[in-house]
Amino acid sequence: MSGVDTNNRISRKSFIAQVAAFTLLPLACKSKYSHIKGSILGANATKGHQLRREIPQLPHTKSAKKVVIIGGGVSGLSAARQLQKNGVTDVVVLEMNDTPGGNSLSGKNEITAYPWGAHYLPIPDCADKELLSFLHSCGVITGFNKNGLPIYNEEYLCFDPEERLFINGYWQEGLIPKFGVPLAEQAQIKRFLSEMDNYRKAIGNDGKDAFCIPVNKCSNDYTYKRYDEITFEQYLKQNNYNSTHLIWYLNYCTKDDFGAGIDKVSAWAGIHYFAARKGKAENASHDDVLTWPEGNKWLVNQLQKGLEGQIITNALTYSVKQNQKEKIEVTYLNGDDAHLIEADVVVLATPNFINKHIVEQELLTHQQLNANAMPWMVANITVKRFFEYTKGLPLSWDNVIYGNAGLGYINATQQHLNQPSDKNVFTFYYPFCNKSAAEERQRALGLSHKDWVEIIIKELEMAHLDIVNHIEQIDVWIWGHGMVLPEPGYQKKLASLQPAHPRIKYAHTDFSGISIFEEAFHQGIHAANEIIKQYATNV
Amino acid sequence: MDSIPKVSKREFNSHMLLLISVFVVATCGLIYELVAGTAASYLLGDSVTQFSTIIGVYLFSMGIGSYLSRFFNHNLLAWFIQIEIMVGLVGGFSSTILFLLFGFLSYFRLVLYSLVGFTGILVGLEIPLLMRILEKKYEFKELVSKVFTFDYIGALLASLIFPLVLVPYLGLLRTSLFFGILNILVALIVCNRFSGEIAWSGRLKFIAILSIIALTLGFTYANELLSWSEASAYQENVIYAKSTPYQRVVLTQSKKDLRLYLNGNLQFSSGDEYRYHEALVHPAMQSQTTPENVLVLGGGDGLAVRELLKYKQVKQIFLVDLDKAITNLFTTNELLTTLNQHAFSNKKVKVTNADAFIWLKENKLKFDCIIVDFPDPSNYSVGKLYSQTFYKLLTQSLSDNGVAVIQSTSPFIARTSFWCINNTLKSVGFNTIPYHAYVPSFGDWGFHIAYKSKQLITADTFTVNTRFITNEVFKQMQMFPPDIAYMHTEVNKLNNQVLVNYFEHEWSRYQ
Repeated sequence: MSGVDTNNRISRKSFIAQVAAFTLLPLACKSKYSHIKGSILGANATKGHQLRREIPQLPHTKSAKKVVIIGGGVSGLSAARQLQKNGVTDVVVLEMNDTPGGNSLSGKNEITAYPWGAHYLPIPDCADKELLSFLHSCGVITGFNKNGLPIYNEEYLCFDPEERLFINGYWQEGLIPKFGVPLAEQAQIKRFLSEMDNYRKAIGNDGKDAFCIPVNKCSNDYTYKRYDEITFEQYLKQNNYNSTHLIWYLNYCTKDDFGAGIDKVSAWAGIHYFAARKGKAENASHDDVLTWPEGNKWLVNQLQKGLEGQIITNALTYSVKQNQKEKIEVTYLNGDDAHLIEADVVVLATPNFINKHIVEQELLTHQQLNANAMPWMVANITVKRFFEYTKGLPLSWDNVIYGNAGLGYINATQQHLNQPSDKNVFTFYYPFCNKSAAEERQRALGLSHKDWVEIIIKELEMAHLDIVNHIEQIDVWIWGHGMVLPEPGYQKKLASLQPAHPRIKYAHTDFSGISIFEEAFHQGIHAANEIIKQYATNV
Repeated sequence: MDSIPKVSKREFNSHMLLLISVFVVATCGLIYELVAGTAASYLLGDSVTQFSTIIGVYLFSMGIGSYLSRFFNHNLLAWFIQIEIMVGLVGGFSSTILFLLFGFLSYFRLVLYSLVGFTGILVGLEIPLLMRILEKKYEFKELVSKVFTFDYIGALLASLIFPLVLVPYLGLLRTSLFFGILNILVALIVCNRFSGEIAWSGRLKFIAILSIIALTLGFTYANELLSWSEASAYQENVIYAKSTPYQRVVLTQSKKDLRLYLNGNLQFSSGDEYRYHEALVHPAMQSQTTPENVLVLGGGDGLAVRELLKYKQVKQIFLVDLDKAITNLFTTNELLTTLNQHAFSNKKVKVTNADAFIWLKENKLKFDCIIVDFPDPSNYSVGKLYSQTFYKLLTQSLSDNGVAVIQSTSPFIARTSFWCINNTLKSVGFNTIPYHAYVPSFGDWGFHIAYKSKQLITADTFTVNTRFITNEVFKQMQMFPPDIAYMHTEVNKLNNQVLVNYFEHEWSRYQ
């Protein structure tokens, strides 16, 4: 060794040092998240907010239709479908976005389709013949057994394992906290669930189910409707429910279905969440759900079948007025051109807050709900396959982390029949519900992609310590106005609505107070049936 | 010895340096030979043959090297250094090359012997060249005595430290890389010492330093090159390990057998796989008078196909396996194609790399026989391939009188799982024949024949050549003693995945 030229050693040393410096320097400058791609999508706020301005433009074309449906969400499509089934085909649906679906939108990458919003449908009640018939027509129900119970296509029933909750360092099965939960609290949770079970079976003095779907079929018995007057939080206090774990779980549930916690939603809505689901099936039970990689966009696609040519996308309706002929003139923007349609009847399948911006005052009498809708963030996260160091149930459909503000994530490939590849997509749901809807909306729209990445990763790291190294992309969708918030008094407000203008029909879950697929589906059918009745009596 | 006083101290040191380099070179040379022999035994098995052929080729190549040394007439020192560098690189990386290429080459032996031969030639050149460099400095008898003394001491040292120290502590990859570094270090020192006598000494030094860096990098990242931690998890020597997008593929070789593991689960041992594959294929095939179209789902090792090809009536075999890496390995690797008798190169065989569930869902063809050879239902993803929905698709792809056979895990270890598969098959309208065979490396292993027709006539005799299964043996396979007898279970569905739960419970109790 003594013979080694010292100059050589130095040069070798410095050579290595230089190589190291060149490769390591950029790494040191990079942030922990800089490898994560993605952007903020959706919301279509700029487009929608055009409504706030006057659009002084003469219509480019004029045409006439029997029915114009404004809004191509589930309610609007369901109305169009019901009309068509009953022979009313001179119908057009105006959808603001480039694809119908409303809250049930989806995206797709090379790995899978994934939802941007609503993503499952619980097994419906057997009394809901219309929904069963729709599901039968699109192959979700393959047939009925000899007792009349539907048989579901197992490709659409959520695959096992369905739900897991990360609590006390362990992934337990199911979302109701139990692992490491003190026995006294477990007893309280049990008491709560059995009380909800009783409400599920309860029948009001008018012979109707105390709680069911659709909401307008629920009993008006004050024994149950009085829960509309208080918050869910007040109800829980009155009934001595104070278990931290139970309260967390109930907050999770109401946030999941209504976008806000127990302090904001009514006790009636809170109980409805637990007591209204009474689906039965040959091969599933009331807590089973139907789901698809693209979420409820799959159902939207089925609703759309047969409506080809009746849906106009990128059609921003900005004016609904009555003309001298007492018909309704609907004007919409498509690109830069305005178009006018003269309609016998207009279905407002739009969120209620939109209506006052587009419909003239005289047509809107007594139909102002002033409903609040909390903002939401949905993220789709592309992850490379990683090893879970945590114990318990492996990756499930719904993965929730106890104690987090977010609602956890859905495995978008859960319903894939094929073997998993080396990448996956998680759909992450995050409601904004601490302050008022307007304040939260401002906050949600003010956050940058970098902020979002940080929020999401911090939540995921609670259960997946090294997940940041496995994330490739995070795309974020902001829903400025998410789902209707069923505040105390909301059901009463709905009950006291005056009859609408005869040429205007409403079809939106804002008129149920609960934003779920079933309600939207029935809202559409209800509006369509009224139109069909009107035509029948006029003829 | 009387020549010593004639040289200065510096000259003496130079001579000693050259002699020490003889010692190092000899040690390195033998190490490369041992590494090649050991790697070949690891990878190909049969250590006696491997060692003997490798020593033979190596010594012969050294002879060629010695012969070639006569053509080197000028700049002997420069040549010596260049050869040192080259031998350090080739020898140092030899084991790395062998391990990395094992999975990809059909002519692995050719590469192996070429490497051994090339190293041998280079090493064979070294001693003659050194002797000629030193010939002017020593008397002939002293020269021969000194050079060969150092040479043989080096050999002794190598042969002792190789099994006792190097392989246990460094592993094969690092051993050869380490000696590669040593080899080039000698070249560097010699080059430095004699830089005045060597043309291009600067350039040679630079090349030597680059080579040392390359070998050091290899040495540092040897673990990444081949996962030794994984190797230690297996009792046998890991000869191939690769992560595909779907699974971790590991091949091991021991004196007894060759084994394939997927995600750590044994798929077959070459010692007794014929028992498994005969039991899997022949009872179902023998029930068909003219099995023309056959489908294999899974079975990317081609061993079931090997058995199927024994039937001359078979016109077409479709094999659907998820992982291209597996089917490629079993199409090209010499060792593995010997085992499956080149099944995938047969004209009747059409290999498709696709997901079996999706493939079956889209399939319009009808098959007389379907062999379902998936891994055990040890996770929720594989569990889907044992579900009611999957078996419904299976009935649709089967001809009216066709027959399917399903590998069904061990009825002894996982009794509930085994009968759950049976009950799930029956729930979609299949009739079943459960049976089980003893496969030593697996234990008592279960299968189900499933068919739609009212009755299945199993043949009286097995018409093809078999080592294990006969009519009597098959009859006995259908007997289930009380400890593994039928039991009621739930039906495995996509939305309950009971089988995965049964399986996990039963196997965890067993392990």
